[in-house]
Formats: sequence, C-alpha cells, structure tokens
Amino acid sequence: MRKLYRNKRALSTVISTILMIVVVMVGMTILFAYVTVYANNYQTGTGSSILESMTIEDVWIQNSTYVQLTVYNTGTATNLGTNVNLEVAAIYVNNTALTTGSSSINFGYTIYAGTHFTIDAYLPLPPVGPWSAGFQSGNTYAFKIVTVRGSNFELQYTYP
Amino acid sequence: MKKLIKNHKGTAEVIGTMLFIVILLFFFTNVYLWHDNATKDANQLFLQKVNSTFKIEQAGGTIVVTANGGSAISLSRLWIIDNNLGQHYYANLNVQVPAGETFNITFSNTGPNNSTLNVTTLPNGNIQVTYDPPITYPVTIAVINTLGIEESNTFQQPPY
Repeated sequence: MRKLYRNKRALSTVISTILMIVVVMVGMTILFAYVTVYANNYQTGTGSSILESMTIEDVWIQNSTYVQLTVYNTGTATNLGTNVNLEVAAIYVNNTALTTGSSSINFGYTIYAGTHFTIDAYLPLPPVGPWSAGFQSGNTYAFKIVTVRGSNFELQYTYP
Repeated sequence: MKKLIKNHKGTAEVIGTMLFIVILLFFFTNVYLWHDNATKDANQLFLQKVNSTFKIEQAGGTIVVTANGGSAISLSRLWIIDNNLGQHYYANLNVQVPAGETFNITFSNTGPNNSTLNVTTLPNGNIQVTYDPPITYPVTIAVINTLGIEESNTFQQPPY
C-alpha cells in the first residue's frame, strides 16, 4: 500500500482525466441550463406570439381625448389547446401612442385567455399637430394594440 | 485503410463530439417541434375562424343570428351601440349555434339600461335581453363569438 502511495507514475494522467471529466461536466451543465432556459423563454415569450389571438370588439370614444377599448382574448384552450394570456404593452391610434392617463404609454394589463377587458386610453397631452382638436366625429382612426410578445392587433374605426 | 481502422487514437474525441451534437440536436429539435406544433394550432384557429362565419339580421322584434359557416359557433357577447346617445351596452352570452341553424335574441324593454344588460334564457332555448331602446335610431347591434369574429348590423327601427 505504501509502495502504491509513493509511486507517482501516471499521476498526471489520472489528474488530467479527472480534470477533463470535471470540465466536460461543468461545460455540459452550463450548456444544458442555457438551452433549457432558452427553450423555456422562447416558448413562453416570443415563440408564443403566434398563438396570441385577440379582437378589439368595441371602441367607445368618450370625449375628444379619451377612448375606451374593449378587447377579447380568444387564445383559449378550446381554440388553441392551451390558454395564452397576453400583456398589453402599448396602444396606438394613427401611429400615436396613447397613454394610461398619466404620461405613461406602458399599459401592462394582462388579458387572461377567454376574458373581455376594457382599457381606458388617452391622447397624449397637450394635444399637438393632427391631434390638436382630439378625436373628431366622422374621422376614421386606426387603433393598434401591441403586446409584450410583439403581436399587433388592429382595428379601423370610424367615429360616428 | 486497415491502419486507419486499427488506430484508436482520437476515438474518444470523435464519440464525445458526436454525443455533444446529438444532445444539442435533441434540445433544438424540441424547440422546433414545439414551434411547429404552435404554428399548426394557430393555423387551425385561423381555419376555424374561416368556417365559423355568421350573420345577424332583424326579423320584426327579433335579432336572428344565423351560423352560415361550416362549423357551429359559440356566441360570447352582444353589443348594442346607441349611435345618437353615444352609449354602448353589452350582454354576455353563452350560446351555441349549430352550423346552418339560427338563434333568436328578443328584447324586453323593462330598463333602465345599465352598461351590462341582463340576459334571460327563454324556455325555447332562445334568449331575451333587457334593453330599453332609444327614442331615436339608428342602433348598431354587434355579436362576437368565442373565436373573435364580430358581426354587426345597424337597425333603423327598434327591434320590437
């Protein structure tokens, strides 16, 4: 036994093999974690954007700067096999970002699958350029709702 | 060639590399298959929408919804938009209409109108919505189904 301990031959080979195994294990663990996180993020994030399904069912212009949009998330398990909730990032009318009432243009509402949801949105203040008179009867407006995953849902609406 | 086969140097590296590639392929194939499946689900929803068309008409005091597509439809919400007063009312529906069949919506003017209208299921399976019509018309009535398809019609006379 003592002879074995004193014998230093092939020690570097054993250490290098162990080192190699450790390095490979660490490398593969990092790779596995990266790919798992990537796949998970893709499936719950941008990848799911193709599954997002929403309809702007009602546009109600309350006054010259305030509009109520009612939306319906149709990304249900019945329709798609899985419930796809979505989060509203921003709302545009004729390419102008609407606000939440404060100066924020980040709505951040989560619309759960199968639910109707009413969003209050306002023209940015002070009204400038084409919006100096606000919403005007007889005009057609292009509303666009953008989700966090990057989907766009649009509706052309003529203010009666 | 014989020499090449007998030479086992570097075999571990080759096997290791192959395993590495196989593991990588496994993970990315999973992502691809998920994406492929999600695309199929989205396409399926699109096809369902194409086959789930319907129309709404007025027949005396009744709004008649006809499922004129190849599939049954499930109605989610009825909107009544009073164009003169600028008021929007809705009633939640939970109604199945088989393909080719019609469904009747009648009204009961026992108002006053709230933003959410009451719905009563009649013994014959049709529904009655509590809605006090305006004195002046027109009124736009819209129905949205669970796939997000919305049909609307503007009526010049009260649906009574």
